[in-house]
Amino acid sequence: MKKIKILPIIILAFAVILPVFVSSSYIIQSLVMILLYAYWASSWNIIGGYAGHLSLGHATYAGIGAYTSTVLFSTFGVSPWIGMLVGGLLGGLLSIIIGYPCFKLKGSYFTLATIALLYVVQIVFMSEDKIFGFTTNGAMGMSIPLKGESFVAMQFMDKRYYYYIALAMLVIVMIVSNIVKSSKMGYYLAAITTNQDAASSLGVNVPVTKLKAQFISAFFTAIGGTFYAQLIMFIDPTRILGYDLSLQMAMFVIIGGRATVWGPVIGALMLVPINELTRSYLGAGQAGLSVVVYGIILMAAIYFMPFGIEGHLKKLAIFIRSKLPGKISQKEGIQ
Amino acid sequence: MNNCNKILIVENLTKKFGGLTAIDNANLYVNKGEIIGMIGANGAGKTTLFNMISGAFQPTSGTILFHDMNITHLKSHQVCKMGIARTYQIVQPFENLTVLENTMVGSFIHTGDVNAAKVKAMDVLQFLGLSNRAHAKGSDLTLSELKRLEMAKALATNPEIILLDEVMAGLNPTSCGTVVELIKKIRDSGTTVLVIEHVMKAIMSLSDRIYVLNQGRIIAEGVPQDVVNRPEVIKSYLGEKAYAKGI
Repeated sequence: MKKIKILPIIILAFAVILPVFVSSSYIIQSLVMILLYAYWASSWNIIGGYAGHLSLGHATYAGIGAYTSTVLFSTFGVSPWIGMLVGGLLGGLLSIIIGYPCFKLKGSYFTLATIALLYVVQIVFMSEDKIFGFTTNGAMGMSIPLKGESFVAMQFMDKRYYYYIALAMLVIVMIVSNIVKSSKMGYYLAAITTNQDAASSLGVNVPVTKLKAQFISAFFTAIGGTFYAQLIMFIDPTRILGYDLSLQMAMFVIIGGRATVWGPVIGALMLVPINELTRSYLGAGQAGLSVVVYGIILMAAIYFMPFGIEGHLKKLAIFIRSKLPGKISQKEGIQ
Repeated sequence: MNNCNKILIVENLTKKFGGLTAIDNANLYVNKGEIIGMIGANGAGKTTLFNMISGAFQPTSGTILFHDMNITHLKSHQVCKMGIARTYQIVQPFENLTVLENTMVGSFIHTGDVNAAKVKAMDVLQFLGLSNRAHAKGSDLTLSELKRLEMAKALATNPEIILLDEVMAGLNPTSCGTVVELIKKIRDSGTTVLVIEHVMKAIMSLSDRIYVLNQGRIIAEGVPQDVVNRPEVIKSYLGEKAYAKGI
């Protein structure tokens, strides 16, 4: 068992020293986006992967997080670090209110309800200049007031600070994800995914277990929203409360591997650069070509790896280990 | 038989699905340590009765008492926590989990600790002779193993009463024999058993008492030999003609 644990440490060490060798702020910015999407995908995975509920409205919580911290910062001067937690809690609270009725729906009806509610929130933020009396500027979007280099205001000239914050957030959410997966809750969620009635007759409180997972998922998604706001320094309802963002969170998990700790990370690690590259190389030519190519890659990934990349990588690792000279493969060891 | 022995009492229980009365004014009781058989033709309402006792269905009227507590309107997870577990006629394994993990879902009811749940689940699998399949996926099992997995999941919740819904259906005679022995073992370990079964030979040899259902009504109750010779039971099972011929 101990051997397996070495790999994450190597990956983490590599991720920590990586910015030292990269000077281009464009690449750092891209790396931050990969980390952020990996983080969001990992958060989504708790309800979409472990609990098997395909929510396509998770941008709602990202938006709540972004708007909460931004309003607190621009109106009251509250540090985004505090706004982050407040936004997380508000996002979690909202997810319970949304989840309670939606969890009564099954399969695609649940998904449709989450999309509908996302659009409701988005339209409210687009058309109203004030939400609960706080200025949010409607469809114009909000700029985060510039404070210069300031840790309290979570604003940095050097993008590397954002890199390390995003990395720390990702590590935390992965640890949480691992705890959820390997605890009682993980077993209960896995049971709920396949058969709610059977789970219930074994003493699983199905609604409460799902709401717990939903809260954790939304809490972390909302925190990611605050980080996004501080990184881009501008938020507007079409992006941070958008269907695209919701879809991306789900997509990275589905391609990477649902209900696994590493799947969402692998998904983001593969797809964000592919998306970037197709856009930068093909985006200038035929209009829409980049999207077509990106779409084909996604379709191929789902067709050939319906259970995600993570499982295939594991098989590959086992295969390589068995071919390594001087090592007795596990099978031979047993025989 | 005094009242304190009766751990489960069902009084005037009725379930209507629209115009159809699935269970009509059923009364029954279960003593601690008994094996109770439930027989009846398909559609007689046996599974509906189980569904109401286990909390999956809400009855239209009537009460269910467990240790003199009213559990009529509890949800199924609450009923399970009280100490009544059930299996499903159509096996319901968690296909993405192994046999051990399936069973752990049940044993988590009394613990939050993964290792404790694993130990408990392993004990149950050992008891049912499934421990050699502990790491097989739920989707890779034979029917006989799946039926035992159903029992394992329910037993892992440490129930006082276990409701077994056709755990022998579709099994060959040898496997049936194994299950009969298992059910006796379950009772001997202190769990009261309610069993729905069509395999008459098994139910006759197992049950202390039998309830016979016909079209939602309990038409007979008593010791096996006695019950199967009653005219109304023969009529419901074999028809009027057979009864008249004296089969």
